[in-house]
Amino acid sequence: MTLAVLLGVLLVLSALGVPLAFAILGACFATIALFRPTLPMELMAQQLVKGIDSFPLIAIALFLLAGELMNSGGITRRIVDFASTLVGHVRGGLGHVCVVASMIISGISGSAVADGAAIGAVMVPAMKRAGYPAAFAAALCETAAVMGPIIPPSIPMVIYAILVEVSVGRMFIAGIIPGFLIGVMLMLVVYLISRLRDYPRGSWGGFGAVGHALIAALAALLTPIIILGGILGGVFTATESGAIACVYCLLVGAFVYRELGWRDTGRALVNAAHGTASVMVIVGASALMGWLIADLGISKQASELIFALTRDPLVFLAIVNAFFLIVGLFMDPLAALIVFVPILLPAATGMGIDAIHFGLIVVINLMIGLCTPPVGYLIYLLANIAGEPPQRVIRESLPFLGVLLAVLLLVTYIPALTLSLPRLVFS
Amino acid sequence: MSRVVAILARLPDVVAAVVLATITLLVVAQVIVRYVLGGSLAWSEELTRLLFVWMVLVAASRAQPMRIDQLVLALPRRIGTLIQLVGELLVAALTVYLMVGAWGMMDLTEFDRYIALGISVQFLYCALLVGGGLWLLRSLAMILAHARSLSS
Repeated sequence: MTLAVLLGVLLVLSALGVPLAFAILGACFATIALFRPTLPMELMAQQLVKGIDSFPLIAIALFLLAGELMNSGGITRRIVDFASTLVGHVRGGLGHVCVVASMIISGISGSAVADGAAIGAVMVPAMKRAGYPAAFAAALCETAAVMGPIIPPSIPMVIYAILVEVSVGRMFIAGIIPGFLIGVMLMLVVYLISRLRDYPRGSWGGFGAVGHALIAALAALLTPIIILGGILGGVFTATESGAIACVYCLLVGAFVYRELGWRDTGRALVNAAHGTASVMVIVGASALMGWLIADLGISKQASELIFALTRDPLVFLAIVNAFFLIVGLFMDPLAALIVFVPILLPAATGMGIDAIHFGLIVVINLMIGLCTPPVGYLIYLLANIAGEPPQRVIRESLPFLGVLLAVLLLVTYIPALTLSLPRLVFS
Repeated sequence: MSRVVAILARLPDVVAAVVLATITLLVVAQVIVRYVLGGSLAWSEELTRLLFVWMVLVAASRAQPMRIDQLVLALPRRIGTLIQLVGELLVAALTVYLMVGAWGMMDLTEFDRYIALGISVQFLYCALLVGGGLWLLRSLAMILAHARSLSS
């Protein structure tokens, strides 16, 4: 009953266009007024502030800032150039360049929308010029951007790790294999489609050209290595690696590539602050919701409901996947993550599912939601960049969505894909 | 006059940008002190967290809020605007409730101090009071705009 009120009000308010943070607060307010009217009125303010007041969450601001600095500092372009010399000569060349560049940039930024905007702005016009249909280019950039929060660093993973109290580093490492899997399979599909439709290929410039582009991009390519290496080696925490990456991107953009001025830096700071704020007010609001869920014993209700349905982890995961795919159609992924993970995780761990494995399933699933209508930021972002109607982009993205779903299934039913690397590194 | 308003409206952006830059430098300083000087800055983690809360709550009033507006936009214009108006009234009411709560928390934490910083925890909840005030201003402007578009 409490669960129905909480989720019902949340759903109605968010469907009516109330900002998500306030939809969550409103749902909590209604639930408190109905079931716990004696709670002090300071509770909402206290939980909201406490939910934001966290050192690990500062990583979100820093990874967003690193991404902004990377874009205005000319790092994105050099990475694309490097990827062109590497895979441009394969059939469907620019498609492969798009995937490889997205993979590398995923190692710097932790947000799918930021990656989609960065790669799309460079690759969509380039692919159009080379004779690829604009809708195909947009669909490919859109699905490749999903790697952003799966290959570390990753903003949803930071939030998940703090929500369920697992190590951020472990979550990051667990995303490496699934992320690469998506990249490789996307390239396979690009190759097949390009053969079928006879898409062009670039020319092989020789190893000299690769070396040349590598040197030009070297400073940029070191960024993911600094971030990952630092966390892996236990040199610094995720938050610290974010700050180091910001300073590094700033220095490279300002002094090596000389494209980053005061004005760009200021704009990057403001954009990162805005991006962080719109995510963090939701995180803060859901801290109150988490408190309420615990206080009212809602996750126990949910667990009992689930255990009545099934006790088989394989069936449970199938249900979870179907559930999150449907939720992802309508809800913002971060909000869905924060709202539903605390409700579902106790049942998952009760069936012996590893919290990190569960986290990867949920994150990949919800990132697919960014590419599915009606609520899919990436579709509209890329359709807008390409100047194509969203329906065309959606149709072109179907084979790539197939790839994402296939990887989701593999990750769900082969736990080793996510768990073996963290075990190897942290043993 | 409108120029002054435009400049004042951007002030939260400037504050948020400066605070974010400070946070970045503080975190880097923490790493440097740990590895180069072999010590630790006890106060820096508390200060970065406090600054982060301020940055988020101040910038929130300027950031594009995450919302699902497909349904509202698909409705006939007048009905859509009416729903948006009601939604915005709800936002304003919740903001006032939050601000009163923040005031109450400042009262309750009057004598609590940050362990390493030594300053009062009131500074933490003050961020919600200020951020909420900025949010309320924006919300009132939206309410006015919706009401005006309804009556026209």
